[in-house]
Amino acid sequence: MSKKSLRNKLDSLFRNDYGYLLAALVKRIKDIELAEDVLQDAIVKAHLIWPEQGTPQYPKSWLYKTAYNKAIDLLRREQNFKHKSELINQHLISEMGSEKADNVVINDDRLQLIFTCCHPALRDSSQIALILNTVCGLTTEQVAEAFLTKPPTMAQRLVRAKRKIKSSGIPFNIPAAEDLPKRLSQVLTVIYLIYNQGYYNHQTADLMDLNFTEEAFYLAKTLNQLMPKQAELLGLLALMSFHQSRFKARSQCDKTFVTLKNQDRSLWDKGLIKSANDYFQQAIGLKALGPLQIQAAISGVHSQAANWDDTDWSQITLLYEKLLVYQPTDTVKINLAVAKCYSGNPELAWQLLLDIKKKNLEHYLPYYLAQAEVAKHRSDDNTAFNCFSLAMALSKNVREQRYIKEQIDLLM
Amino acid sequence: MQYLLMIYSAEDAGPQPGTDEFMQMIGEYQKFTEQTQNDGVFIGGEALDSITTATTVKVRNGNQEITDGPFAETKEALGGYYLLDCSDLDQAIAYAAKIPTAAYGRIEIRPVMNFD
Repeated sequence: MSKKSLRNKLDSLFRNDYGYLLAALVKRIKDIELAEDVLQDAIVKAHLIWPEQGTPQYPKSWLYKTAYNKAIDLLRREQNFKHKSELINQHLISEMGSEKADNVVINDDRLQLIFTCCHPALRDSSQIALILNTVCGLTTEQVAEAFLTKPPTMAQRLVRAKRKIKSSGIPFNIPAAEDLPKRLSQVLTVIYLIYNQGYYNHQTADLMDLNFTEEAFYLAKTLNQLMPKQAELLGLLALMSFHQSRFKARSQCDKTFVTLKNQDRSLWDKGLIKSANDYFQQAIGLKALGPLQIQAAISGVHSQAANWDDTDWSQITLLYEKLLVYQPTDTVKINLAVAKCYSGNPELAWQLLLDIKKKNLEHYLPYYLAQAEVAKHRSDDNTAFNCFSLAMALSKNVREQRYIKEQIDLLM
Repeated sequence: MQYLLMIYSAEDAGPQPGTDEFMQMIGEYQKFTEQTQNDGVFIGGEALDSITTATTVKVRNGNQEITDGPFAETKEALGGYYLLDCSDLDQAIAYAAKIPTAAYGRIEIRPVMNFD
């Protein structure tokens, strides 16, 4: 194998196994920063040694042992200055024997790492950054880009969060049964935010940042593998799969995005729709309804319609009403209003939109798009024009701006 | 790990001294203290007198300055504390949630710094 292809192979190995190896190291040395440093060292070492001496028979074991031994080494050196740490003695006793083998058993501790990253004692923005940086193995620069922050700012945020985990004693475990539903729901929220970050990419000319949608699927699928039969998790997988099935149809035009109404439905990915339906059936079978399952159901209704006019809007309206019980947010109210409009009630829809406190929504683009859409159905082109203009001023994505421009042109 | 659980509330919030509710709350506090002692996590814990009894001291350029009351005007005051030895933050959070004042005030949890 040429050096270059070996290097590529190395990179993909690191990419796929980074979170796995890091979680196993954190579990044993109880320090995220130290685990990252020694894993990074081991990866650098592999880049230097493997092309010369050949890839070891068990590359993952090699990386794990190299990183782990380095950690022990560092901790031991630190010990000269400090009390004898119980931690290290335990390690030395329990590990010395097994570490000699070429192929060591590395437990999958990613679930614990995911829960640690999403601990409620960390602020929401830190949780998302942490999970991308540790479990998904994205670099600080990549995470900074996603948050529109400068890398030094992001580096500082990540370090602060990692130190808080260590110094405040945030445990590295799966939450107790009584805390689990709430903690799992937070993890799912974080994953869905990562997905949306990719799906509604507002920052670049690309319609969708595939990396983030992939990371979200990776996290959700990993979670499902490690923690099967969680209704809302399956609901999230169904929801993301339904969205993803329309990716090609949505990005058909390279200048703007294609709305659901105008999409060529033959381009929808049948395989993804099937797996979305499978996830959804599994979720519903567990009889623990939740907001993600309802959102998946709404997306599922769209997938069943052969074309836009075929859409069962009364069903969608009912589902949004149900969702409102779980999530009494302005976003859900806006969607409910639009659904009512499409099911033949534009006057009622307009009233619903007016009832939402506008104060919170002054900078909320979807609100103006919804108002414009409903105004069009009420044949109030002037209002529609004004609302599209307000939305235009708020949009940061080139494709979105083109879409709004088209809508404005249609009114002229 | 040692955690300081600081109990904050507005002094006019919650059960007021002289009422039955106040006596009931004292009983709940006693029960909570006993539980932490039985669980072997209790290191210390006390209630503090009212904020009107507070004195603030600072030394600037060698000069001692003494003022009546707390330095900053805050609505919520520190009313007491527990020092507990817990296995991790989750255990400390579980105890904090059981402190009676958590129902109307708030509990700030701080790990004691480890200089080892």
